Amino acid sequence: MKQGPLDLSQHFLEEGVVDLSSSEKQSALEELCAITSKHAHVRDAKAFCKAIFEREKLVSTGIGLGVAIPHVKIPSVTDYVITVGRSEAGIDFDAIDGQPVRLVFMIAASEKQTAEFVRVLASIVKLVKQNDVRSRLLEASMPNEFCSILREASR
Amino acid sequence: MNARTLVDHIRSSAATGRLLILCVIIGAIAGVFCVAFSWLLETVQYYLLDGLAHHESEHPVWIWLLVLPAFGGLVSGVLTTKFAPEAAGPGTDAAVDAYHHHGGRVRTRVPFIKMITAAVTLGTGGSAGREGPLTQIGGGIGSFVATGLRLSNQERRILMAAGMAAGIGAMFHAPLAGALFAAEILYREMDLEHEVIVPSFIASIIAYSIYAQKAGWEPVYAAPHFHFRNALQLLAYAALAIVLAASATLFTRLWRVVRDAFSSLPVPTALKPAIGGLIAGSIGVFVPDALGTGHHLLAGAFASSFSIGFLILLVTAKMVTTSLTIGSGASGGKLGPSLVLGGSLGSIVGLVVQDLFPSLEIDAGAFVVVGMAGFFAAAANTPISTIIMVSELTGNYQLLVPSMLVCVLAYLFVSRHGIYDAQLVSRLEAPSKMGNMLGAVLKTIAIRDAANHTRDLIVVPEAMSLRQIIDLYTSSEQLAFPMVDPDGKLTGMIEGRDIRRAIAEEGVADLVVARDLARPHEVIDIESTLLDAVQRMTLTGLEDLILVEAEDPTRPVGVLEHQEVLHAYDRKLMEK
Repeated sequence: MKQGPLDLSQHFLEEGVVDLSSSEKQSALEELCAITSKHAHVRDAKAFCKAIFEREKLVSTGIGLGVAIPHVKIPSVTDYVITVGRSEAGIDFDAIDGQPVRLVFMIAASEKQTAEFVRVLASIVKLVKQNDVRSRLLEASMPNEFCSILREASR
Repeated sequence: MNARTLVDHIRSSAATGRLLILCVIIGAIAGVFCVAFSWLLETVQYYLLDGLAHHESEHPVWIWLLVLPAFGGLVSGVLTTKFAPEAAGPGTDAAVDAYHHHGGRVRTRVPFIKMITAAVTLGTGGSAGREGPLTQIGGGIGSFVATGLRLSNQERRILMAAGMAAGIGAMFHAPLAGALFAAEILYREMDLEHEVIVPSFIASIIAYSIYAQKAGWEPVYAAPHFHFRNALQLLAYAALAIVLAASATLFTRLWRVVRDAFSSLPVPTALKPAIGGLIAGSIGVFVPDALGTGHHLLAGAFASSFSIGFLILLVTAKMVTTSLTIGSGASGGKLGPSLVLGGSLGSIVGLVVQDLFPSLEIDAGAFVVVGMAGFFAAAANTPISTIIMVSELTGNYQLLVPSMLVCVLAYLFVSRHGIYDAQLVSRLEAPSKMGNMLGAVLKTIAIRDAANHTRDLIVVPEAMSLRQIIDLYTSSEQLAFPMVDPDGKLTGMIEGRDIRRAIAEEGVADLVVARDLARPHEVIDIESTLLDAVQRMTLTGLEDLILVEAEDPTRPVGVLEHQEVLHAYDRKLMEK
């Protein structure tokens, strides 16, 4: 049965959004991993980072439109954590359309959240497919305005 | 015997021993309750039904016969409504219901409330039995002991049944029948709860011995002179069985109609037994013997001292007053009145046969004994225990043969809806047995025989996209997929329910891969049984298990889907 997108607004926190300093995929992922791992829901930063890279190795999470959604579902995470990185220069992410990525949504989830995980991913995809949301995010000031746009668009 | 088997054996023996010791304690408490209940009943009866109404004298006081049952009904109704609604009406039904549906749990207050309300109902002329309440009182004692010691539901049920047996066995002076009754009363078909028989024997023997020490060791209705010496008499006994079956059916229907009528009566529940008692009392004004337990009537019937006309009037009136007393919610049993009704009907048939076929040389008193047994066997669906019960009640085993014939015929003639609604059809329907039976069947089926996807197993790599997984899911009959790494080693499992959920989400067909969708997997040796598989599924909450061989638990060789478990179970049942 088809269900509507989830309300993810409470998951977008100001300390979880950042302008990325790196322009390489690996260092950009490391930078965002470090921010995500600060959250209490991520119990093992090393395991989380390793899992993110292993997942990227399987298939790139660059979905096109300048967006990537690296994600993992592992035992050492207790609940959802969503962080977002913005790159002014763009990152080569092996995205599906070959375009550089300017917005990176990183998602950590618990291994037990199998049933909801795909819904969370679909909700993020729906959010970033809106052209005006993407362009407003790229123009917004960090972190307050950026976060407000995300919360508003994900309600 | 290896060490583990020995330890299991000792543990099992210790558990059985503990249970049997508890049965001694329950039997002792039940015996004391029987003594207390008898004293209470006799006291109330002495001062009220006998003292005021002169019930058994030749000139009873009609106004007290009219009023006393209503007073008793009022006291019974108020007490049960306020303190223990489950103690209202017949006790055996409530006990059987607690056994089957409440893990044998009976509230501690129930035996006490039942004892007081039943004594007041019977001692004021309510038409009911004193034995049925003892089933609930004894069952309550068993339940109390088991709950106090935090025993399992199964142990509580056994001790509850032992308590029921103790109550019946003591009150009827029939310890053997009491034990079998507790095992037989639970089911409508000819089925016995075999696991309660031995504990019931123990509790019943102890309770009987304690009660008999006070009440005397003589049988309740000593009737030693009857015997069976002529095969042709069996024809007359067969006719008796037909009369008993028809009457038992009539009594059962009448009591249901009255009960339903009172149930829908728009007055407070506490007052209903008083109304029932008033109507019963008004009948008692004209037929005083239709009130009270009616035990004294059986002695007269044994001696053939009643006319056929009086007996027909008595049976009719007794059926109505009993239905009114218990059907309105007053506390009392249906067992005792059934014996009085059966005995009276036996006497009627005996006198008729004696008159029509003097060459058969029958003793109408013998028909009373067999009538008691047959009527109750038909009404309560308990032919085995009733045959023995009547022999113990009368202290006469000469009539076992006609009793067997009449009990079985009467039991077979009636429909299987007797006076106890809480009875289940058979052990097959018992909620407490479901797990055992299911387990017994599942244990005989090997996973290898139940699982379809072993030779043509489809596995998915961790990087397979959701789009490809959906294609696979819709084009194959396999509903769950093991996920493997590049070396073919098992790393997870994708269940059909997760694929179905993912199909509904837009825009993620290429973003989501097998690893995102996979659940932690659970493996099971393909040589295990379906019982092992179901236990594993229940513990993990998974719908599917991955099959492996013992030598290499990292390589999937098949999938067992929960639907396959159900199909295999159904197939096995159909084979049987």
